[in-house]
Amino acid sequence: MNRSKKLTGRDNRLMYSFLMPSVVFVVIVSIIPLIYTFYLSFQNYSLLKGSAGFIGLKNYLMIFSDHNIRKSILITFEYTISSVALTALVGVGLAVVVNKIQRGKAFFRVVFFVPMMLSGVVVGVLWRFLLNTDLGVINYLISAIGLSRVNWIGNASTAMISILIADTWQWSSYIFINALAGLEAMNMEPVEAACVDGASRSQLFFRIKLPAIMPVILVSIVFRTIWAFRSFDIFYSLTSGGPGTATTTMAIEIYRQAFNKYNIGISSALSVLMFILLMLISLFILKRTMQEDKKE
Amino acid sequence: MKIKPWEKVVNYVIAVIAAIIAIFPLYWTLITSFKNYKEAFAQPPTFIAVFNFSNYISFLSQNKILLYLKNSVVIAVFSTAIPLILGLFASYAVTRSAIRGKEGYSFFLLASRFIPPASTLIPTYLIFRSLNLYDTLFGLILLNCAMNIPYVVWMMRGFIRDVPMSIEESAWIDGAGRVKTFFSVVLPLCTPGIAATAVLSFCFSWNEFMYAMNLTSSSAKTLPLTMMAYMQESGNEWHMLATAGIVIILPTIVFTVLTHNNLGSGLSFGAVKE
Repeated sequence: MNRSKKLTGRDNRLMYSFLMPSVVFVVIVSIIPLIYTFYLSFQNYSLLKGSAGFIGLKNYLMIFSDHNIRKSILITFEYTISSVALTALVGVGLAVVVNKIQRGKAFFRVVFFVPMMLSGVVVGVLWRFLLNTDLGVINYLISAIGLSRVNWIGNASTAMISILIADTWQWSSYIFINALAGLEAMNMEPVEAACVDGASRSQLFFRIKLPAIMPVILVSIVFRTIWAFRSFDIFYSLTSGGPGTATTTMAIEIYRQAFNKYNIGISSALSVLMFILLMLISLFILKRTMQEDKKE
Repeated sequence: MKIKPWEKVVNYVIAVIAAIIAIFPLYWTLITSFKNYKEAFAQPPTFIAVFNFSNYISFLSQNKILLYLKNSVVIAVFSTAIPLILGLFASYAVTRSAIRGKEGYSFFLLASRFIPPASTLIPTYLIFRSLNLYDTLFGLILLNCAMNIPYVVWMMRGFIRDVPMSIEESAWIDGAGRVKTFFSVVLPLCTPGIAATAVLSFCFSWNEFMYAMNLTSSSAKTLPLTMMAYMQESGNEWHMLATAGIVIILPTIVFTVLTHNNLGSGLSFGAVKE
């Protein structure tokens, strides 16, 4: 379409007016508090008494020397990696299975899609009930086949497993729905050609299908990683970060420091650290994803 | 390659087992909501229960529950409508305009979603207190809108891109301007995508917990907070927790089922190329 420069300029001005309200809204509501967090992280600030002044990097030194806070960083990473790996495996696996179904496909699609749309607190409480040591159904079924009941939530060594169970149950949905969309949109020609050439089942999957849906899976892994890293609802409702600090992630620790210990300075420093870490992770994964895209 | 019949059966069995795993927790919650206090944790537990709405009646008639329900609805509706309006315009600009740096703006919006809510919880709390936004629906709506706008922009990109340029161009030739084309051509063709995006925004706002918990005290509380209230007061009232849980998840399930096709493809945020 041939337009004079004047028309394009006017069109661009119109388009800016389309775009800017959203950008400005997000800047004001999301970015300004972030800047304030940076500012607060350098202060000695008690929720009860207000600011006691600028203390430089002292808060940061404290968060790196505090054993519990360091532990929360470690736990956040452990959880994120486990969660993304588990949900990716289950999600892709389910997508492959459902894609092959002809009758009733829509039913399975919906059933496996619903969990991710549920409220995180409801999922947490629901699994808290299911995994209850004495009263939960899971332990009842376990004892019915002769094994001993497990204290899923009260035991430090199994608490994270409880979280991962609930988490995988809920969030495999997200990977599933994306992988399925990818499989359904996949070009069947290479698959058929490979079939004619006598490719085996696993060759078909790993060499042709999987690379074809990789872009979609990677995008969903990016989002899943981000959402997992900052996950709060399930942790708060299923284990409350416990027992003790066994499932205290950075998000939970930030909350505890601010609202249980009233230490805004430390909480803000940890918030800044969490933000920087998540930004680095996101940009790193995005970069890898875009490299994959460019290969096409 | 022909799929042998037994492979189909195995495939189906796996799917059914997985479906049972997916549905069972919800089913269990539902029948627990039909039980009374003692039945809820009888051992051995009963796996079937008769329809019984007495828990629901007592839940909804509890002091303030209807207020929290209203709050949730108001917040979710406004936090869907406003981001849809703002985001649709922005998404169109990002997809179809010649603005330099539009990819940058688009990425900026996405990156705003990389900020952990936990990181901005405290400053938001302090700002809200000083601006008298604490415990207000308006404050929560602002936050939820900022959360949803990027997702609207990114989800709609794919749907807008699917509208063929030729249709837009023929509208231009007929004399319609950008704005008229946007409203009378592009938007109507994107209706399924808009519905799916609306459902996503609604669910995200409806389920939002962390901000709702920390930035409200009495008048702006939302429904998910009732779950925690039951946990703290009387941690063993599982039948009421189940009831509250079902009330909270029911709208999201209904909306998801209605729009699952477009919701699914929209959630890849443009990665699925048709």
